[in-house]
Amino acid sequence: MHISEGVLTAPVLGVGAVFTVAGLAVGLKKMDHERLPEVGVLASVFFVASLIHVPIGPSAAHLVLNGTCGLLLGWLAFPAIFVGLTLQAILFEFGGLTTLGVNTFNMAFPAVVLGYLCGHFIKSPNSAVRAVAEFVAGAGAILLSGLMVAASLVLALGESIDTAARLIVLAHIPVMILEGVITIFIMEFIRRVRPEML
Amino acid sequence: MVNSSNCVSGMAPRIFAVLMVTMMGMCVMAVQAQAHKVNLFAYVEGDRVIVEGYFSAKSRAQDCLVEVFDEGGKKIHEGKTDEKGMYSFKLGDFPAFTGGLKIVLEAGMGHKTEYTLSVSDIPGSAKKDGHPTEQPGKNQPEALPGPPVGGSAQVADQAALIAAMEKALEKKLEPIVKMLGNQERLLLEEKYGGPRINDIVGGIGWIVGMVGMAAFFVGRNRSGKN
Repeated sequence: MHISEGVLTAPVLGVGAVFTVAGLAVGLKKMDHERLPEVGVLASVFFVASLIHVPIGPSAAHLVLNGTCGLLLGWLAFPAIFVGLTLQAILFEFGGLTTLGVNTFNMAFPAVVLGYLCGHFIKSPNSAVRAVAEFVAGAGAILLSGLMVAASLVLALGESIDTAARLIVLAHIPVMILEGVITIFIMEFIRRVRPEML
Repeated sequence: MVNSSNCVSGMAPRIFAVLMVTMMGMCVMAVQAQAHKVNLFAYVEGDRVIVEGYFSAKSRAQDCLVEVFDEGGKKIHEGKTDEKGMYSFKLGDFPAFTGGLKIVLEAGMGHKTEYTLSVSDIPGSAKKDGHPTEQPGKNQPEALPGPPVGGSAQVADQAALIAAMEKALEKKLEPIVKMLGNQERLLLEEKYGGPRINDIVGGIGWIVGMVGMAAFFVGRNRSGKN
């Protein structure tokens, strides 16, 4: 889902960068001493997750874990994902420095949205409700990211939206399911070990 | 200040340790996993240019658009890779181009990469200055400064000899050329073959460092306020 250098046009890159700067500003404003280690750990998790290839389906799909970032960090997902993507671009050449703005927004905005949508329900005493909310957060963040990547490509290249979206969403269905399940496991684990993090 | 540092160390230990272990596990998995970048490799074999697109050694870039540009940036050719991620085209089909070629591979969903074949990579391109390709092979023997006395029989002999030698040489050199090609591909795969454990651990180190820096500044602001 990393968009490479030289694919998008300048206006799309610019708009992405502006949105990302806004998100980063909100995120950094909410950053405080207690959340710092958490942000760092999740930035690392995000950074490493992209190396885990999901060998199902036609394309090079990998874990993203932005839903987990959103549930645990809220707006702080912006700085965490930004740092993760920057290092991925520099060290792994995933994506690129010019597309950093668009890529960060495409990954972090769904994280924040799903984090807020599902954040309330993961505190429910009913474990079934919790599991559904966690699954929806994990899978939904990928789905929304995929749609946003498709939209970016369509805006830049004029590909037809349904082909681009269908391709990307289809390729990521295995990832969505996997991330939903992984998110449930991570959240239940944290609930047992350190419930105040939620 | 004492308070705040207690706060950080008090919050972290168990979850931190567990997450670090998880991440190490992910690293180990990641090393076996595939890279997610699309790579492109192109080389000349005989009069064909062969293009290979792949995400990793195991996963090939199938059915992807290949575009060929000349040095001026003009698109001269396009095609699609097969199920092995391979695509090839004949150099002879583009008598007009001079110099190098730029090959671009689009793997869809925002994945795109390019590879440049310089003049020295394309053995035939020197011919492009003068006569059209292929033809000089037939004309050459007559143009050779052979001894004028021998007549046409000797010229024909010499031509046959040269042709035979060229054939033999080509045969002898074939494995070497192949070996060099493989060697080059190995080098390229090492270079582009995806992240190494050094990069992964290094990246995590960067993040830890950034958290440390941020903690320093946040802590300083705090103690200033107090």
